[in-house]
Amino acid sequence: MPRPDAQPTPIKATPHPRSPRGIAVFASTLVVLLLVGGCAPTVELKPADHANAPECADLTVRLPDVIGELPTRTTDAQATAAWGDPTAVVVRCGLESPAPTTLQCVTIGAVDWIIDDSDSPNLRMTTYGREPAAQVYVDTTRLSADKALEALAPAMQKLPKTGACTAPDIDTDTMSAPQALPDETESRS
Amino acid sequence: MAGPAILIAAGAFTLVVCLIIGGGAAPRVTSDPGALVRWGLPTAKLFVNLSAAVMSGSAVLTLFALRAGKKEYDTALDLASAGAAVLTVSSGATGFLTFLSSFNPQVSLGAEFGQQLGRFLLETELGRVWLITTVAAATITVLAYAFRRWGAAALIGVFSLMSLVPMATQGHSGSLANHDAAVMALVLHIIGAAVWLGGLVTLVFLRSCMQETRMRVIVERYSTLALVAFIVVFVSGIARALTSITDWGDLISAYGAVLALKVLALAALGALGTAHRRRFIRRGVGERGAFWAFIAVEFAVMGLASGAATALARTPAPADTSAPPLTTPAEILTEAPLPAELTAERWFVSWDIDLLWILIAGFGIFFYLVGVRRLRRRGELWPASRTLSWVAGMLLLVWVSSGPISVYADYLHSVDALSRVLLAAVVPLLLVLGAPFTLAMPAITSRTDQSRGVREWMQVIARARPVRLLMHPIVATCLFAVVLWATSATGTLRWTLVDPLAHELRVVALLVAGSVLVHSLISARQVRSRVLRVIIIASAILTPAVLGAWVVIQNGLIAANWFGAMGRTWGPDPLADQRTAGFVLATGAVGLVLAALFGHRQRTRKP
Repeated sequence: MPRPDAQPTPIKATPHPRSPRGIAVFASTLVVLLLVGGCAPTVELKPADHANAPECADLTVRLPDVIGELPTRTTDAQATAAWGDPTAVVVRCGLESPAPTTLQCVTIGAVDWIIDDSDSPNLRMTTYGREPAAQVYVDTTRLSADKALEALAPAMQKLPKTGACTAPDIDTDTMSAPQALPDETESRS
Repeated sequence: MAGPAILIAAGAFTLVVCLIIGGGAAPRVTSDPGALVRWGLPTAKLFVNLSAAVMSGSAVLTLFALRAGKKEYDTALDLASAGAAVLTVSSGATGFLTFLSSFNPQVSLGAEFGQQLGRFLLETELGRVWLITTVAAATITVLAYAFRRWGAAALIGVFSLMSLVPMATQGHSGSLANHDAAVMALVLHIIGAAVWLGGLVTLVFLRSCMQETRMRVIVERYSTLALVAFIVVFVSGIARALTSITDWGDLISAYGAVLALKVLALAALGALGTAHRRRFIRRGVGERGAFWAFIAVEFAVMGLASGAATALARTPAPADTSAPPLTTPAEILTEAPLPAELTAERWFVSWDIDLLWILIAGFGIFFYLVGVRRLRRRGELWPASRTLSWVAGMLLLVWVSSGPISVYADYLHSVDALSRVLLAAVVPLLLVLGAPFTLAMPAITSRTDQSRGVREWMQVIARARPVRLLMHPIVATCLFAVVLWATSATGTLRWTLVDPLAHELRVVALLVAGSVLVHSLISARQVRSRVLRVIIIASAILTPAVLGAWVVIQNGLIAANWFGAMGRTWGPDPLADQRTAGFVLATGAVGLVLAALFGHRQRTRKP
């Protein structure tokens, strides 16, 4: 759009950068940045109460980059992690250690887990006898829960052990036994 | 052609001697790859070093000393192309021999061997380094052979120096406590040595196609380059050695012996270079024979140093073997233990040397003062406030990149934000007020022979179209906003924290974006409209303020698996620290307000 007072450029040899070109550069930069930054948005999570515990840092830095086929995602809360787009696995560290419960307790990779299947097909699993505690939330339609726990076991073992399940359903040797998590075998089909 | 022959012979001889002394090619107890690989790998590496030096040294000398379109210029670029060709072959060979050495596979022409090699080249860090180097060298071979304009030559020069970086990043083995510092020292060491050695080789090749008077001019220019390169090589070599040894007892070892040989060679070269400069260049005493005899001796010593360097890289360093495994979260993330709590006195006693910026600041201050002295001698006035501002800017740059900010930036978001603000708004303000361009134009002797020196390159860059576009206040404001936003609020932040090279890139980006913005605020001559100027100034000042406010109101943690995963038990929790970071970012506006005020004062003084 030529302005009314616009003059024809007098000297061709010294082109003068004008604002439309500047805007074009800015717009293209913005597009590039959106393309680069917009591929997998940050997962918004709420940190646990004791997320700042140094034990949780020990855990966070040892979490795997990939679980099954699902790559890790950026999260915006301390001592949390997420995998898959849309999110299929979520880890939060720094919870109060749960009290003894009647819920099912399993042992996978030397870590005891309390299984809460009230949100089936999603499973909420909390470490038992670890201080601070960590919680894993798995969408079992996309990944088997024991696969996720197996992948997370080396990191979870870094949480200091203070107790154990009294009667775990399975032990470390049979951690891939399908009967360990009945809900999940249903949803796998 | 005697010079290069002496160089290669001396290099090979020293390599063999040093490998025998240091045990770099001794048979291994388990999975020995055979004598061919054990001796072949260092030999290939020697050729990589020498050819890389010829490639980048001749390109740099072309840019700094030669006349476009003349035979000397073409000869030098031909040499760069030839050096790159040799580098292509020798780095390919090094990659292959490294594969044989580290995986000890069954050599065959079968598909399985090919697959293994492919996996090594694409998936391991070491393999990728040699793949990238080979591809880059091949590209430079073609570029230097086919394109001969100044622009292409500049591209070749920059590209050939950049192609040395991947090699340097793999030059250390195992985990050093001071990983980042060691890598940076090695990058500078290799680049300095390449420019120095390659330039000398180029001189020898130019000798045949040039008259003696012309040769003397070029040797003098090379001598300046070589002096800078010598300082870089010397300082970075010492820094590198200091990261490899932990106490003086370590020096009494095979490693120490090879290291001592290198230091001696370097000292000898420094002395030779100085004598050469005094005797032949300054006085102009010219017995041709003596002049070239001197260069032959320099070649022999350089070959000695290169051979020793290659052997040293293969010799196990005493401190490497005792490096403890990484266990704490901070060690896993940053390869350095968590520092003690940041108290008031730690702001004065914490140092984490970043050699790159120390060298840049050192040369920056030195050449600036030399320029000022030259003007003073001529009786021209140069305001002391400019000198003061420049020196302060450079010292602040050193403090930010090597001081307490650098120590704690990895662990505290607020300290990292402080470094970003200082680099983007305060250091640029001081440097721009130092007016280096205004000083360089009268202070540096202009070239009259159609070659380009620093002054000519500065002029060319300042006149280049993309640079002028960048300097336009609107573009400068946008660039500043984008760079500050990207380095503060996106995934880029974490990348610049993890990768030491990305970190340096961030420093450069912030300095450039800040300087361009401050410059356009101070001398906004391009914008005639008063309203537009006010809008530009307001948006520039608002950028850090808005960004800071955005960071303050965030409920989520930025770079949560970095700042929130350090296992830090002292100081505020990461979210509270992030709020502080937001306030710190907002203070960047102060620097830009000052810049705008300076600009206003200048405009009112001379309308």
